[in-house]
Amino acid sequence: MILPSAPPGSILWLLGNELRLSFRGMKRGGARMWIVIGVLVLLMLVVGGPMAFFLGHVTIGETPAVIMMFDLVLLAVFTLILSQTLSATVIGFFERGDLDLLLSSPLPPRRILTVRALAIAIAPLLWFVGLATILVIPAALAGQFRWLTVYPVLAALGLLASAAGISLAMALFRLIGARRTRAVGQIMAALIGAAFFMTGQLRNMLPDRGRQLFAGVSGWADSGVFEPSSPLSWPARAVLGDLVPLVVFVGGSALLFAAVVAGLGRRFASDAGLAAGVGAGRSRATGRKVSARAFEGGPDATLIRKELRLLLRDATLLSQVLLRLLYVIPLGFAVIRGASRQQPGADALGSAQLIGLTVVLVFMAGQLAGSLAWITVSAEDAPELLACAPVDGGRVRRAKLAAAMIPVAVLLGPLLLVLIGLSPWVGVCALAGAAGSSVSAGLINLWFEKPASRKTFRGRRTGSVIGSVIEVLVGMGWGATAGLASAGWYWALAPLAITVGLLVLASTVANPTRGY
Amino acid sequence: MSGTEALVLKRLRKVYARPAVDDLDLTIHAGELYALLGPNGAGKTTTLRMVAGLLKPDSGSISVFGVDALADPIAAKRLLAWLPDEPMLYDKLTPLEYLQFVAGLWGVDAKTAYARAEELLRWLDLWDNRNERCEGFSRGMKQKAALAGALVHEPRLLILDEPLTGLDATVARQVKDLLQARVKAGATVILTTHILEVAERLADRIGIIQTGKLRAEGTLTELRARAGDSDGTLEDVFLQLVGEPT
Repeated sequence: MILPSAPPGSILWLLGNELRLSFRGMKRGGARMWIVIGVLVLLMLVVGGPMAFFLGHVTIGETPAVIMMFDLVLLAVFTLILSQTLSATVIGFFERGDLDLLLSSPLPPRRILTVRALAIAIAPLLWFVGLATILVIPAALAGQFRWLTVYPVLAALGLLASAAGISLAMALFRLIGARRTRAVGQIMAALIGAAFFMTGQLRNMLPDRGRQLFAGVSGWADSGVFEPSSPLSWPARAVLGDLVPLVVFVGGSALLFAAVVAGLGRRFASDAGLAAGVGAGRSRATGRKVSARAFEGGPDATLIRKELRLLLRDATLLSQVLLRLLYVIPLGFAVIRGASRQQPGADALGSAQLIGLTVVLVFMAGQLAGSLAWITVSAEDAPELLACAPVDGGRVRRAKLAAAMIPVAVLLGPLLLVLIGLSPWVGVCALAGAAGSSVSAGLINLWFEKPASRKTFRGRRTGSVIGSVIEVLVGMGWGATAGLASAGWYWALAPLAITVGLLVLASTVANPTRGY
Repeated sequence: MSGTEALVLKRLRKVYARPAVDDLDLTIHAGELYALLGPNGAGKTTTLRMVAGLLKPDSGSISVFGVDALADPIAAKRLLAWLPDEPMLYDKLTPLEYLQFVAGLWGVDAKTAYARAEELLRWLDLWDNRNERCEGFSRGMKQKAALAGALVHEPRLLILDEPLTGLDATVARQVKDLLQARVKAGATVILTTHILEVAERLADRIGIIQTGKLRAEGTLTELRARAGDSDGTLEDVFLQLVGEPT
């Protein structure tokens, strides 16, 4: 029991309950928590210690360049936390069944929102606090106490991100309605999470390789906005240990958080009611009429069609799966630009760049296929229907695997074709690697099948840790194989052998729980 | 002889921490509506799940219209439909798409399947909702969509576990009428229910199961005679036979 002495119904008591629910999984897996702590201590010794030693011997002046760099890091952290708080708000509205209970209790909605908002802020912070600890604790132990200010700054970022996430979710409620908020909120969360990476990759995407934009940003940075006297410098100076900016930044964040919670408290109850009513309301028509012809096709076609329909209609799930593709987009731009510039007999794209792209594509194909295979194989909504159907279980699973491969082929196929056009040998290596990577990831998901709900997609890796680790390693193995092969090196046989060995190991140790 | 029976269970056994089904012998004739009753944890659902191919028995045999369900489960499954109390539906599919999917699994040809789907959805008042996703349906509508799915391949043996749980009077009436119509058309229906009035009104024969064994079986009149209560309701008879105070 967390906070047992808090009076029932108080903010602390409710927060204790929220946190207990959030970290129930960690509490149950006590060994896992000790492993995390062990890894953290190891990283402090191996990484944090030397870095703290280095920082102790350099002077970090509060120059505009340093302030801009710290501000950018804080902005990146903020966007990542905001992505999670927005997602948590939307999920909290729709998928946590306890809101009805809380809102029907004689507690004021504002208090419930305060607690929910605090819990939403705390959960994603733990990762960043953990990461910061790797450096901050060794630095503090070495006498550099000013780095301890990272913690209150992170807490302030969490409060800001929670307030922003809740405001954004509730604004979406007003603008597009409860039903659409669920999908749009998740997609927005995914985009915000990837925003910083995408911004960093603008160079690959913009026509002039972002020269104008970067020139503009540099000019802006030089115009004095990051001078120590500027308000924009305060977050960075707070991290660097300046007391006044620290107090203002943390206090201001807390005030803003309190204002948002106070302002939205009443609306929160009505929005939560609307969200709860989404499931019970009358559904909309799909707009597509099913004719007698649509009934044609045997069990295989029927199964594949059903899986693809379910995938395409779950916007929330699809956005989570496709988020990974955002990370390929900049590389895609690089390839397309290379293709458009390529003259006969000239190689516009460097071979190293092509090989890098091959490795990423092959790995990405495996990751995509693995996610989709988990959805089609493990997250079956009606396993008993399939189990009592007169169709062999193996045939059902093969059809589900095929259904998972189709979107991968559709999404990555065009990029692979462009690659083949650019360099046939590299393209063929990428194609073969992507096929191997996808099929392997699918098979691993079959071997480690464990019935689960689609709602648990984000936590799917905890279903089988061994399976998940092997899936990632096999994806990397195929990536390395394809990369080395595309460079024309026989060394490609080494990662291929390891990959095959891992697959054999996976098929041997797997003990699937079949739902059908 | 077993070829004329819809279902024959011989010494069927399934043990978890204790025997859930304990050497059960049960015969259900073709074309009858059989109600399997029993207290909570008596082994009703476990028995039916083994018949539907969802659970493997520890020992014993299951014959569905003469097909050995343990030796040839695919052939046996072709003949039956299973409808649990929680509808086996896909929220993101429409009722018509769901029926298309189920018909495809059972290999029903497209023309026949579409005609049956239309007939069933009209009968169950779901035709106007045929292009709406099931996620917005009420419990009754979901149960009706699942029932349509169970019937779209015209099973010879229909197994229903608590089919009326949570349904309002109108929907419950529709389901009961549909079951009776199926039996009239020659199908065999086995259902479990805690609503004894349903069993009393619908069932040709009633079986009472307790601690995994069949305690009594027969028509209501036969059960009354066995309980020594010629005027009693099924509830009275049931409570007497399972040894509960009436």
